Amino acid sequence: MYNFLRRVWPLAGLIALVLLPHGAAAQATGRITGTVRDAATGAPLSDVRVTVLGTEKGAATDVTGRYSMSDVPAGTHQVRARRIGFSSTTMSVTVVAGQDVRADMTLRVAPTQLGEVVVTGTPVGQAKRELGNSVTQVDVAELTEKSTITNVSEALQSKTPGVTIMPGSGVPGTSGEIRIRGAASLSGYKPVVFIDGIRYNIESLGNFNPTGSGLAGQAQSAQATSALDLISPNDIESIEVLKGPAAATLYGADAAGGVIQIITKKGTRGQQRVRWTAKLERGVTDWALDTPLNYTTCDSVKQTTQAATWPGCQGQPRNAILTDNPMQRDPDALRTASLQRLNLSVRGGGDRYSFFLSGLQDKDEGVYLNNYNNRKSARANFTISATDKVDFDLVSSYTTSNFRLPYQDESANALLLSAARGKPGRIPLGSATEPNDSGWATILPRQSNRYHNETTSERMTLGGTFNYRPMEWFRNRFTAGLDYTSSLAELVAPPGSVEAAAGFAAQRTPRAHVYTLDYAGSIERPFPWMDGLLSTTAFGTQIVARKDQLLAATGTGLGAPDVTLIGTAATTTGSNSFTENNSVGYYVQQQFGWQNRLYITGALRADDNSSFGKDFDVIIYPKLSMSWVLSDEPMFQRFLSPTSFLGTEEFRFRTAWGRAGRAPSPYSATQTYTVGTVVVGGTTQSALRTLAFGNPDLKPEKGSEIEIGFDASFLGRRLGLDVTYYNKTMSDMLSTRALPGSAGFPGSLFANVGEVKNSGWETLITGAPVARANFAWDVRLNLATNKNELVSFGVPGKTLESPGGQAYGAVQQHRPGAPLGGYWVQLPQRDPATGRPLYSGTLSLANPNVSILLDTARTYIGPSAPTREIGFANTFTFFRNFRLYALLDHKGGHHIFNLKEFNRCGTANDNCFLVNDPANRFALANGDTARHLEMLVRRQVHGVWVEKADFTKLRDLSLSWTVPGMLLTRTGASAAVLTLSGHNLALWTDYTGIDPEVNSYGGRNFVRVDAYASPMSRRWTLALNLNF
Amino acid sequence: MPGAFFKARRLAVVALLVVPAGACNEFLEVENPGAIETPSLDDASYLQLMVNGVIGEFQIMYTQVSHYNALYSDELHNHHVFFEERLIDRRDVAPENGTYSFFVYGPLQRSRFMADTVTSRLRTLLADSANRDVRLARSLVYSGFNYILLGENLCMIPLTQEPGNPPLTSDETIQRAAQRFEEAIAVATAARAYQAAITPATAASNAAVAGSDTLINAARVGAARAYLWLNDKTKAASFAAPVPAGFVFWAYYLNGAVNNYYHGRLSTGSSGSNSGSINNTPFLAMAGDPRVPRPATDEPMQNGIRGFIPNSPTAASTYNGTAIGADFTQSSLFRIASGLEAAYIVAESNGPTVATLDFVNARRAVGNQLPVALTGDALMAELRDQRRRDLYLDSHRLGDLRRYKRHYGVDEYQRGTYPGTTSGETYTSQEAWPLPLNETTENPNVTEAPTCTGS
Repeated sequence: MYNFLRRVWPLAGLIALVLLPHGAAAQATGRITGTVRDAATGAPLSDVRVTVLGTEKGAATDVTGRYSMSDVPAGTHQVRARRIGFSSTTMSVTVVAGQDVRADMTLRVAPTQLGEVVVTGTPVGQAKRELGNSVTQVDVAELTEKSTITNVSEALQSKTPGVTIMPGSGVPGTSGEIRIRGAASLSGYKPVVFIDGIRYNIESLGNFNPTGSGLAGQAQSAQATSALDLISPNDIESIEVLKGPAAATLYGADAAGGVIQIITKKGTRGQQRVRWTAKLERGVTDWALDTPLNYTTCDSVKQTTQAATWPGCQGQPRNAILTDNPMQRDPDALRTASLQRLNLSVRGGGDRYSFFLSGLQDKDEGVYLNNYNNRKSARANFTISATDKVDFDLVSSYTTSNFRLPYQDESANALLLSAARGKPGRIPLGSATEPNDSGWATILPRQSNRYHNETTSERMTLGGTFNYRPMEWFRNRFTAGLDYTSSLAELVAPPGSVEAAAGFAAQRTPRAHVYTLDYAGSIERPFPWMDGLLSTTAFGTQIVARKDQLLAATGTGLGAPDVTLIGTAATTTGSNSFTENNSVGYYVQQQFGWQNRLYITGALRADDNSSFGKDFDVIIYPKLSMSWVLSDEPMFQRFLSPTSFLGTEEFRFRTAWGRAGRAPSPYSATQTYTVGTVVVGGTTQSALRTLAFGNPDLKPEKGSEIEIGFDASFLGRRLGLDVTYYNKTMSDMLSTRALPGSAGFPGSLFANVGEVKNSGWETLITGAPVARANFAWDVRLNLATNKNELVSFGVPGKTLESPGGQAYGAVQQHRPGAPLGGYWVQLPQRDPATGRPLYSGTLSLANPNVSILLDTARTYIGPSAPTREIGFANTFTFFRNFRLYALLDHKGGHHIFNLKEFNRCGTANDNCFLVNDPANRFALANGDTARHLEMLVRRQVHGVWVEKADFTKLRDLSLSWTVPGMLLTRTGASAAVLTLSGHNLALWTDYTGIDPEVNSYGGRNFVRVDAYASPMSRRWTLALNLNF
Repeated sequence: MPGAFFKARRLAVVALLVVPAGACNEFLEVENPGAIETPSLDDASYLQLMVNGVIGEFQIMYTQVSHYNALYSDELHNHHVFFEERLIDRRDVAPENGTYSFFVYGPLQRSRFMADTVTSRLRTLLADSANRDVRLARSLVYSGFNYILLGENLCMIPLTQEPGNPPLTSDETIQRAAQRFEEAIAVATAARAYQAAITPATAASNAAVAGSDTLINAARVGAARAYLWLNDKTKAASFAAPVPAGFVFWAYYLNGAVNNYYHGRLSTGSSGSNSGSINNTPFLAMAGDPRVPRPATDEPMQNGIRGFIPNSPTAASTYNGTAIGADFTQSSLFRIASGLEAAYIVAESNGPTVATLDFVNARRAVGNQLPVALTGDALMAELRDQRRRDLYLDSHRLGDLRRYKRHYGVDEYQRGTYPGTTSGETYTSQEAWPLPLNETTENPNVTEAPTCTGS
């Protein structure tokens, strides 16, 4: 089926390309052409939607701001231009048959965008001015124009207050996590994602753990991958984020973590001119940040009794310090990697149709020699208007990705670990056939680079939306879609490899099907008894079904290096799994709008889900919101008008309260047994085993949120302010209760008992401090805070829980009254008088390594997730054709466990600077006991390595040049933009590790540890964007 | 205008009613091919799977619990790198001790629950034929041994979290064990008669007869063990006496399937090895007795110390009768009950008789010990010494320590300073496993955490 579609799809695209653009010109028509520019700077604006009101005619501007609409009926028309971030403009145009008429327009930056229509679950979306909650929009089309964006996470990073992107590592192919308004639950907090109304899979691509899971002793990391990264940002028009239950009530039992709506690019009906766009990007990626220096002190022991072990110390002065930086000197360790991306797209439309087709080829190398992430994708979006009352959208995409991950993090075979723990001067380790190099502790680059952990994924998303408007006031929308993701993950270690001497091969083939069936209707009518009161009733149902299947096999003992088929291995294992989860939701929403300035909305959503317990039926989520555009209210005109002393253009007060849920995991409500093995009389037979006790009362978590805020624009719309306060409580939180052993079942029990709170402020300030013809400066400043608190486990006597999967030296705990996953550490006991650490044993030169005594109680250090975030974006436009864009990203208030440095300073490795610094190393011999003890604290106590992780990064810097038209006359191109952009260019932090943004356990909720995680890479890209 | 307004509302209602019609309850009934839901067990086709489940849970539990019972009692010592194991060795087990909960209490309760559940289901599914079905007898025998182990080793035993069911005492629990063994004997005897009456005999009926004999003897040993605990020595001896001397009821293990847990903890070269030695136990002094075999020299253990790590005792199928012995293997069968144990029960029940002296000297000969001519308490002390050698590591010792103290006032618990301590640690006064945290906090029937400081 999928192969068939794979073959047919390009053919359909070609047919569309050939047939669709040729709309025959009709008599008594003319053409409207023009350019849309920024009203302040005169810079051309691309991707502006220009439509002829009352007709189906429309067009989108190219990168030079130009548009063209043919076959417009003669007569006078109203032409409207709209784009996210700008106020729409309408002008009157008179079309004369057979002639061109020019309609140049300018758009003003609109800080508040109250007229913008956003997706909220209802059939036709809602204008922002009607909503009581905030919805953040990201203009991805614009972002991809002015900088290089590789995936959705980058598109959201620092652009949306309240949305926190927490990456795991800088290795291409791995992904970070997305938290919206904090971690709402112990059981998870992922948002749900829809793409053009279809539920989108964002789970792992099913790769093998990048430290080599499947090979014994190699599972010391959990970097994540995400199916969300398969979509090309070049295909995205915009992203809208509904941040919590107050906004996402209509999405029901899975939306408490927020909803991300991805809207892909479409053609514009009536756009007779086909617009081709080609974007070619070439770039380089490098390590940029520090690589670890390792140290050896050639002390008397190494030069005498251990001379054979430390040949490099012989002949050196006593206590000489040898240093090495193997990652810098070894050419097989790191590379300046290349990046290539070619994106070709075409969009257009006729009287009754429009289309957008695109293709992408993306080759992204990592800085490790065996790391890459390649992607190919194709998209075809069609809109067909059968009649004035019926139209049909078809969206389809196919993506294939292929990435190979290197050893990472705390794997003994990871290069960063091997370099950081290296001991210069030591006798080489390794085998006789492949001797090591003493600068590398565990593995050489040429060995590590052979590691073969590769995942090939396919994704197909097919969807159709049928819009039917039987009457102007009655609209219906049916959406059906399938999102299919399939991967083949392979792990191969040939015989003789360092990780599996006998050879090892493993494969996993996860498949996920997500089906969406959605109906939404709305009725909009004036209220019969009261002028100025508009009633809008929305209602609908949403069905989502998900199936996950996995087939896995391993083979040990491959026999020959060239044979990697699992079936040929000496020992093989196989396994499979299957999960299914279905949900049904219904909703009804009633909105009353008064005089187009006061909106009161109430809604109810009912949900049932296959993972709810049998003793639990349906859950109802209510919602209530108000939006009041005070600046349109006559009684406030004195204070809130452009002529008032505040200079207010628009001012809207809004507040919303709502609930949404989070469904429990599939099957967790059901009491189940499984089948194991038993030895009966010397033979192995199947036997019943207890599996899960189940909780028939299990229900979804209940998120409840209130938000209050305002949007305002001042100073002639040069300054916009969007302020929101939210307070979100997740009650009935799924908490694991210990299961009494007398129940007879293993494990624990999920129960709806806990409570978590999140509150914070979100502020978006947009402004245009300078707006002149040849120079303009636009500013976008995001400020967000989050206070996260576990209110209660809800389990009597339960006072703490450790996040699962922490590395040794667990320093994080969930405790009531503190943030989830906060750092709670045992600090050294100190003498109250001297402040010196207390220890056991007798300290002397002969016995210098006494044990530091620890406090029995743990001390709270701080949260593990940022509590404040600032995104500061500046766009400078000069001489109309040049644009400089810079984004500063700050995250702070949180901490990270620097396990790497703790590990290096420990006695097992002994090669960090701290313990080789002569002032520390010989402190005891020099009589400085206090300093010696402080060094022992650093060597022995995990807790002192929990460090502040505040940082500021120059996340993006780009310079774009719109090539003047006269230089393009012979190229055939209608427009060209050349952009040089950099990503992760500078870092300011007090963190003593390499990069405070990393997390060696990116795939686990809450656990944040820098255990030799690879830092974010620096990227420079040169992009040429051509329009034809 | 109002008409249009209400017409619109009616349309909305119709749409809401029509569209969800496709979403029926069946849609929310999802597949779960990796699991069997509890109601499905009412199907008779699961009968053998269920009986195997009873055996399987016991197998998994048995050597695991035996190992930790050995550590908790005086059979093994380990100054382990992981502090919870040291606490177990010192009998300082708090409810928070996760090692105890995971490796001992949880498996014991799961095995007990599985046997009880399956026994109940067998009665229902087999209906009138249940009382002559060898499968019911088998389930009852394992159920009895589960109750024996719970009763002997714990001081308080909750059986359910359903309110109104207070935990049982050790005696109450062992009375349940006795009931199950007696019932098992009755069912197995009826099954044997039924199968033996089948003419012509078939391979299946012959196997059922042999199986019934094994179960009858296993139940006799179990019942005798229960009554010995309950200090009803007449009944104990009456159940033990008919058991053939060579009878052994095994827990089966196999490479790669259900492994003998001792292999992972005590055999040389296995991961997690060197997790218990006979150093600092009374058994260190038994050099030369093949029933407590150990290598010729001590071996490195965790925490940088050395120790004599025991090899296969008489309870293991890999016992070879030599002083050094043989390593445990993954597939070492392990003894649950035996004719040897029955003989010890008879001897203890009869007291210091000539027959007891003869029995003691016969066992001393096996241990390369010279004969003794003891009487009275000295003879009974020697009987206890021989018993701990013959039943080494097979989950009898902790029950014996409690029983000796209860019935004879003999305290053989390790007391005083904990060997190897650098901070003055001692063995505690705890004498039986307490309840873990999950039971004390989550079971409404448990109103206080037992201290288990008395036997």
